Amino acid sequence: MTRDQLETVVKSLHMDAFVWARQCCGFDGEMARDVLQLVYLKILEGKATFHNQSTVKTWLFSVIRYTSMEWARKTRVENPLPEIMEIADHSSDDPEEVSHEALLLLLPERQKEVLLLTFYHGLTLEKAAGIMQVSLGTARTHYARGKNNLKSMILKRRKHEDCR
Amino acid sequence: MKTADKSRDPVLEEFFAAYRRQDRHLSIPVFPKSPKNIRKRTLAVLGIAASISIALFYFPKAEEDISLDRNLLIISLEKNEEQDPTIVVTTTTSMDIWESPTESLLTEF
Repeated sequence: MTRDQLETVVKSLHMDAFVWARQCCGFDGEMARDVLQLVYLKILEGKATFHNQSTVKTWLFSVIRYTSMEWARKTRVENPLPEIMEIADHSSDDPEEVSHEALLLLLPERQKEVLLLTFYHGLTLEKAAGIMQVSLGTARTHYARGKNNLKSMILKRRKHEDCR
Repeated sequence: MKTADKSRDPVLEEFFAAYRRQDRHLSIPVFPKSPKNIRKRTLAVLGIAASISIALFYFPKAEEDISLDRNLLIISLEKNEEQDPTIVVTTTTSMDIWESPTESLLTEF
């Protein structure tokens, strides 16, 4: 695939790429913009190269995931948490006000990722495993556990809504 | 099993469908311009910077070439001790500090 062809495909995937970047950045839009900018820079400078071993979408999503993790690590080092920090307790919050994103944030990271890649972005479990850089078996485990956890949270929320 | 069995989970399907609908309102940033445009803009900026550097390099030199000390020569007519007129040649760096040593320029000319 030539450079121009790759650029055209990446451009067509821009919206999905931004949504995935935002999901990788804990639903922080500003951070997602910075991460995506860095991803495109990596591609333009040839630091991230596509070897035709997967689809462009799988490859792009993998670069985004890796870059967001890199970015999070970097910002964590630059802005360490203060010694005394008040941690918000969401357990007593009204479940009705909990959004889709807030529910997903309650899941462990890998479970959240695999559910987003399969249910939201419509990728196969095999491709999701490739993006997450885990084996298919591991991805399957996270997928099953994630589905159960999210489903029980959704049903709990619905039950609470019905009682009101 | 390569694909996710999404069809068996209507609860999750419904949840993600609603989530996708909600995400339609997200503001998506503009896709960055192609590297050709970036390269052109970079070249233009570099060109302007180079022009300014060259101009700054040459202008101070041009000012240094103009030296009053070499170009300004004052020839005056003065009377010596025997009251004979003699020609005195002097140089000066500035016209502001030079004054005629004789009154001939003021009175005779």
